Amino acid sequence: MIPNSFKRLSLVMAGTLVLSVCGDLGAGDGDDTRITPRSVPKFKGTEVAKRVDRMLSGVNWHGNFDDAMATAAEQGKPLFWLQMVGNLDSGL
Amino acid sequence: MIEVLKEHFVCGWRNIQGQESYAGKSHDHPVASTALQTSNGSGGRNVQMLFISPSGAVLHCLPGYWDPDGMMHEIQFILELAKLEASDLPLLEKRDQFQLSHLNHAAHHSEQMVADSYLQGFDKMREEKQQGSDFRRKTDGDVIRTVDQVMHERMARRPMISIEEFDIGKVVDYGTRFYDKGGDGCCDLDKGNPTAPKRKKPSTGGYKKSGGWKKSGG
Repeated sequence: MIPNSFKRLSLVMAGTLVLSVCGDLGAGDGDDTRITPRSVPKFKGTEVAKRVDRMLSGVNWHGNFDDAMATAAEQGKPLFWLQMVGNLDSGL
Repeated sequence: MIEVLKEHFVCGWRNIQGQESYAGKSHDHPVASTALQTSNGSGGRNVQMLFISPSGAVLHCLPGYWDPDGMMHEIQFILELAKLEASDLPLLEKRDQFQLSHLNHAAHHSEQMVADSYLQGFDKMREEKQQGSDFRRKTDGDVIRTVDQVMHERMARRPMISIEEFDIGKVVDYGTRFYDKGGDGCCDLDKGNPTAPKRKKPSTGGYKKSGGWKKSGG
């Protein structure tokens, strides 16, 4: 008859072995691990509206390409020109 | 992001709905709509972020959604390109370096950024129907390449092209015309066709033969 303490020890050892093997299978050697897309939190509409408001008030937005380009040339800065289906300030 | 834009760029925007043949379609969304997770480059026909040097050369084009990390990574690169463009180097040398910079930047994107830039199912289906799609892997033809890589390659083929000559319609030509992440759920799946948009579709006329993107105020 096998003593209970030996059974428990065997189970713990077996469990540890399984975990370490599974861990190895999951993590690989670092090269074979599949990278999955990052999870970006979903934002509620109220938070989106707040952020849009911050973006609109925090940056001086030009509404005319030629004017924006002229300002860029004058200031020696590149132009960030956003094109979108819809409106930055009132959605689509 | 706002501070970086404010400090290093002049900013502007315009609505292209019904104005440009390459503009995409979507359901209606008020500003206070829930923002859902998506992949870099999703909705490339609905949103284009152009970065143009003070002299009018297009440095980069980021189409569609970009997560903050990915976008900041690209903006740092764009600021380096702006320095190159402003340098005293001969134009041909600048163009060579521009091409190499885009290709090298793509080659050094992190695995995470590549993973974050996958084509969604319905966009992938459209590319699978395109024989010569640059989203196809060269080894086996599988449509598995990602937007972050393809966009750098497309820009490398347009070395410091002026905004007047920049063929943006071709640069953002990938995936479906209709994009609506989670509008009714269907477009979020790797199966099925997207539903038709609610509104009347904008008039289209094909690419402008004369000079690509037409300048106009917002």
